[in-house]
Amino acid sequence: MVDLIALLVKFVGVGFLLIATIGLLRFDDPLQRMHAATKAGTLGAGLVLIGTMLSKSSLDSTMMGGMTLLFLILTIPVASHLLARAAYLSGAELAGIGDADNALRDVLKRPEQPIEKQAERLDLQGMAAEADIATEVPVSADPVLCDAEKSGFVSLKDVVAPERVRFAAVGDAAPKLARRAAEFAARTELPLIAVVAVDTGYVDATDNSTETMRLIRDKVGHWLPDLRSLSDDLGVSVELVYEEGDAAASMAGVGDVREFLVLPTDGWADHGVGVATPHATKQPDGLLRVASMHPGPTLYAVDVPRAGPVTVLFDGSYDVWRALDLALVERLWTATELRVFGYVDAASRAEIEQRAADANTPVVFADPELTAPEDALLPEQMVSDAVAVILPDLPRPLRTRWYGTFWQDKISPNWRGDVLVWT
Amino acid sequence: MNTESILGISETLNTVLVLLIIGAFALTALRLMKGPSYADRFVAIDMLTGLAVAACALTALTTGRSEFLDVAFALALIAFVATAAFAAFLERKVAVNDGRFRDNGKQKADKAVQQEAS
Repeated sequence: MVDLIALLVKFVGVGFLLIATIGLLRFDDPLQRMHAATKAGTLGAGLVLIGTMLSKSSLDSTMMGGMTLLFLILTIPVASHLLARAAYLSGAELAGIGDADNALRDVLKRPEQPIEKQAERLDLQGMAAEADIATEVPVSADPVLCDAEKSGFVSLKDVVAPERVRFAAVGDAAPKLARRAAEFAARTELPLIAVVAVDTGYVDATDNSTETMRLIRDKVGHWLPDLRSLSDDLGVSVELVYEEGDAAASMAGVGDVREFLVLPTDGWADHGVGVATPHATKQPDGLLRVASMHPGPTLYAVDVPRAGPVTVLFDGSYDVWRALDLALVERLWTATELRVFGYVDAASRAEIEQRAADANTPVVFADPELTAPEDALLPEQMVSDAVAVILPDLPRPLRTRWYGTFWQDKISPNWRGDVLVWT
Repeated sequence: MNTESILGISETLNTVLVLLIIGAFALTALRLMKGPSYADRFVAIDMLTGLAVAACALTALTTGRSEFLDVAFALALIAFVATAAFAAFLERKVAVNDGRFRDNGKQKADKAVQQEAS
């Protein structure tokens, strides 16, 4: 009799499992599939386990089966909750979600596109130099740029020019950055803000955090008179901001004021005091993250401005237009030549030529056959002697050093210079 | 039908059940391959472990070795950690991507334009 019941239970269990897999195949979106897989699946597996325990009818197998069953019942809700949350957050296409009646709309942020699509789109932008792909999926399909095309590339400067200049006043490069930021502020008549952002994560990680903090303050204190005289020379008003905590967040500032941010290319990891952290596993500064944390442009500046060619990685996006416009109109560099790399359609090409002519800068478009090497954003001949590059996006991952490789090596190996990005 | 005969055929029937589960494995693998989203694949993997637990239990019966129940327990343990890790991976991927895409820049620009207008 027990055997008969055991057999029946096992059959029902396997039946549930089969139904669950059919559901997994036939339902429309991840959440519905999960509904089939986790509910019917657990029930099926549980019933099979119970059937096995009945058939075996020995103490040890009952113990083991019972424990498995208990564990399944305890963990499956947690696991499927996590998975469902991740599915929602990843922007997977869900039936009925994404409309106005989505109850989670204001609770959890969700990208408009599934992350797989986002990855594809990036690939497309990277490959856009190959013309045949570009004709299939024109890069200017970007909704923002389409608007710009309609209105004849209105000068973006009028709409989104920065309102303030903000620079990192910590680290070894601070005095030189101050000069560059102040010169820019003087030329554009914008107010200047010096940010002393002390990363408490770094300070706490050092052996003697009180001493480190004192060193950092001393260093800033010694340098401040120089900043005063610099601002007096150039006739710029300087506001000093001192903040402790998440240095990257302090650098980016708060609010929606568009600021022109000047940051050192190598970050402010040790705040210029040279105290090593014994157990630091990552750069504490979050340097490259800052660019996307505020609504304005970000210039990663090397010490001294040089004259030379400026290279643009053009992908037709709004960001790169804005950055390009800023660079040309404000003459961030003494550009002897503007080099454009990437697929440029005829309209954009004419527009770039026009704007470069307005700024008295000769412009060169890269050979469409030219492609960037595997591990770099730009081919070497485009950047070898360039003083600056304008990028639509920073190279990934957002680490200053990634396995010992300095982040600018991902733009082009061994290239060092200014990077302007507006994301 | 007496108890003896049921005992006799239950061996065979267990094998049939294992075969059915193999069919279910195949269907799940199909979903795993088709995707289309990462979430779909992770759900399929979650389902696979459930199936594996059931298959282990049945194998314990067909082979008569109760060690397979221990295997089922270990699988259930690992499946939970795996699913949690996959979910964390997916969320982190989103966090990493955040701020990278044009949509974000567009929002900021829209905001800027609105401010300018007001």
